[in-house]
Amino acid sequence: MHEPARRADLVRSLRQGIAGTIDPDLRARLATDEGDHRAVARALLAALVARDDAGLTAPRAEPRAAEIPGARTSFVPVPQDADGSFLGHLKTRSDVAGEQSVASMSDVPTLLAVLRAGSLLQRRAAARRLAARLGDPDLAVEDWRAVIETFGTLRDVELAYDLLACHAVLPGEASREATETRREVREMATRLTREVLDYWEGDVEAEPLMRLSGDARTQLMLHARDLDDVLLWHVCALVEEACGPSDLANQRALLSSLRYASDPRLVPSLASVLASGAGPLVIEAARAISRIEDPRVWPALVDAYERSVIEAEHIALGAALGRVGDVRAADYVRSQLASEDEAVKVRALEALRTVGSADDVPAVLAIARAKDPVLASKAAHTLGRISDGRGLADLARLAASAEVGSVRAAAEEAVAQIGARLVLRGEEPTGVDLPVSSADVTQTLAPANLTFGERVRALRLYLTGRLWLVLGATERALARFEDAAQSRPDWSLPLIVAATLYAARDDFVQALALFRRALSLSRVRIEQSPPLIRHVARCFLRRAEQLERDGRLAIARGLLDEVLRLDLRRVPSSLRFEIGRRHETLRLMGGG
Amino acid sequence: MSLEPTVRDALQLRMRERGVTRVNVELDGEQVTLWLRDGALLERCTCGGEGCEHLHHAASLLDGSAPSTSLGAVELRARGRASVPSGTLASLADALDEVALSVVRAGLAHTDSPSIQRAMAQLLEAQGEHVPLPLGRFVGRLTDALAAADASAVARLLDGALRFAERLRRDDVSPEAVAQRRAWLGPAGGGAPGSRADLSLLELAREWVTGCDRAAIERRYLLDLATGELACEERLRGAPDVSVGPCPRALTVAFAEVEEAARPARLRLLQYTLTLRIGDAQWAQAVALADRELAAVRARCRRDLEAAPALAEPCVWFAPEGPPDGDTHALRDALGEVLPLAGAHGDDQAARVLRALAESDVLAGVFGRLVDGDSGLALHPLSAVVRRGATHALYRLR
Repeated sequence: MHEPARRADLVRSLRQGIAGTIDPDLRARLATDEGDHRAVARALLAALVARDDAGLTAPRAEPRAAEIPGARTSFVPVPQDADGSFLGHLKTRSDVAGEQSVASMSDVPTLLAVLRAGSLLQRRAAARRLAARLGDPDLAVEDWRAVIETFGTLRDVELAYDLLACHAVLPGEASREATETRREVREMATRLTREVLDYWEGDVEAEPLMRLSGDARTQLMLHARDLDDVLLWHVCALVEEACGPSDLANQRALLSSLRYASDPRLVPSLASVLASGAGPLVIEAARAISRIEDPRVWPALVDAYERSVIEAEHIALGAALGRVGDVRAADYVRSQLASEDEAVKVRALEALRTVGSADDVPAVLAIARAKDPVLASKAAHTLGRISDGRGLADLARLAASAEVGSVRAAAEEAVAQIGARLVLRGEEPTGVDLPVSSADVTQTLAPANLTFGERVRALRLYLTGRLWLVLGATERALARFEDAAQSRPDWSLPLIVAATLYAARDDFVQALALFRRALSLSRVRIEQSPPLIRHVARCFLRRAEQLERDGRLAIARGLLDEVLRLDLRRVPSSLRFEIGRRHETLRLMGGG
Repeated sequence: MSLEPTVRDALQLRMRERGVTRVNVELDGEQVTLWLRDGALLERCTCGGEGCEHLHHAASLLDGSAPSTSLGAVELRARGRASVPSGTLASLADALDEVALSVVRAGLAHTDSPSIQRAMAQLLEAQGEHVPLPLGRFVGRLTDALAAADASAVARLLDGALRFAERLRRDDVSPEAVAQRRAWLGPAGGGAPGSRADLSLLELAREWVTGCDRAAIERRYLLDLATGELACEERLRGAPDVSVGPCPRALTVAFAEVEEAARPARLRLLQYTLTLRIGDAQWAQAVALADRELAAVRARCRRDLEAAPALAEPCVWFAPEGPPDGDTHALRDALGEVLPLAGAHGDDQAARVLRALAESDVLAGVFGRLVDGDSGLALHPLSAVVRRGATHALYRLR
């Protein structure tokens, strides 16, 4: 018998098993006199190993692709609803001559529409392409205006990093803020890298990354792609608990801060968390890894999805797969939208952003009309991502009528996304009065009937307060601001200044009370002002953190509920994300 | 019963004052580790108990007080004894035999057979609460090989297990036999490990591999910058009894224990310092130590597999000639011989990442495990080092 045939016979025997009567031929081939199964098994295994060992020292022949053990074809995403339109087939880049791609697109209005309505990868590519187009000195004035207008209202945290390059070349406050943010992150990263090196060399006891506040950590990790290898290695070590075991809350906080990092260097560590099957951590790891453009992501997600049995985890993994274009979880997610478990229902609602289709619009619209503003906002966000025209009219009405700022903001954003999608399909929204962006800066409280003298007195008190502030007499300044506010009850400026002073010295209790009074007078104005709404959001977050540390979880959650009702589109992404993350954590802990 | 607060505080203060961040104390076959994190003292014992007698004895040793009980008077959990009762080894041998027999009887076409499940369960139950890490890894590899119906891998694992079982029955107490027992069972195998001193190591890769559970074992691969030898360090998920630090890291090791019979050799770093500041000279040295010809790699692989049949997981630090081939995902050596990439997903993913890295930089080295398939050796890549001008960077693939 030829050598290869013998090996094949041995393999066949091993595959089929030797239960029952032992084949005398097999015994003969194995040259064993003993007839029992043990002896035959021993001989069979030894013979097979001997054959393989002999083959080890020979050079390999050129392999064919089919020989690669355990080959699984690379995943190629298919548009979920067989979208035959331009957007459905638009690639992010292409080497094929004549094939359209975002990377080669020149038309700014189209790029802006893709920026709103495309998939995550398309939106990122559009942001990068816009940054390049903005560097073109021949760019038309109308295009500049369109970009400035869109960027003024676009607050997509998933694109925060990619939009920085655009913001850097735009004029005005946004550009200054982007430049300042980049500088702050660079400084933080440089300092942190030094501390990390010292930590591992034993010069510093405390681990430096988790000592940062949540929003600072998120801000840093939003720029992960710019960070030095040393910092990323350190983050990976924390994710894999190579510094020693960490408690669950800390691990969740760390993983959630990586949600928008989008850095391929994190893939192995995040994949290891997926493989570990550790419940809440798997959900956060899935959210983070699915936003990374890397060929290793899909196999890791599929493995985890196929093994997961817990509903919340299964939904989150399904959503993550949807984000990379694999919509196998769509039917399952739909079925969970009817769950009686509120937490599962919310997860399903969020998951529909990546696996949902036009058929899901009616069910999601029903939730958008809910009294709970957090639920309504999430539903509006989902409708925007599904981007089907059927939801447009209802969303426009919601945007016009919503009293809660966050619901109005989410509905407006969704309307803009759907409108952009329709434009890319070559359609136009019909029968819908799209809401004008709320630029109502008038005070919400009817002006008090004050005499001219009373207004002057209030102004004098306020200016006296500013003078005391310049002289460093903060307490006297605060007293004057309070007097000014009492003299003119419809004026929010003294309250805002005083609140900011209290917040600067970490007296968030006082600051909160004053911000609340100011919001009752000029909510829309505050929401429209990026510095002011940032101060407000930060104050609410810091106070909630204090209450959480004191164990007063219900109140902490209430504060976060309250701030999430505001229009936070002008709050930095990292801060907005941290508020949402804490709120979700408290909700899951049953806080309130 | 945890440490008394006064004892804990005193120990904490003493360690801080003296700049000691971690202390390992071995006694009665267990290891107690005390370490500082964020200024607070944490402790762990390999017996798995909370506030166990080992901890109290270690603390009394460190603070100079008399222990409250004698260790001999306390019933300890059965783990890591100085010598292994022969009855235990005999039952392990029987369990391994039973696993091999049940698989060969049922065949790879019927790996869901109740007899196989029962034999595997018996093998694990015989170890009690704490399955030795290497044995757990053997079980994990066997489970994966059965699931994939990989005849070569199953044959090698079971053949090696039967050889080990045979040796156990002979009650061989030669140093070689004891080393092999330790390779399979860790400290539970009895005897004492070997030791190494004054090492300069560079961690090239780490991965999570299957043990009794999926992704249960973290393995770190270390390159000796003096000799080019590869070794590894392992830990169970959640276990702190392993050196700290991210990958990559450069380690200066004053003292380490070693299981020489494992392939690659298994280290336990006991006295070391580490840094993440890895200079280009170190990277250049590492790259210079990489294998460039596959003939030598194959020969070494065969030696490793023969030396530790069921346990060996040969690995290679390889300097390829260029990125992987676009169609076959194969790397080539300096003589044009091929080393295909293999993995759970055909590894076109790893191949794509390697090709992408090689687009902008030079692929200086690839580290991975060698897998023995039907058509010969293939590489399961774990990391790559690229050269950008005069600098180097490591990229983890898994």
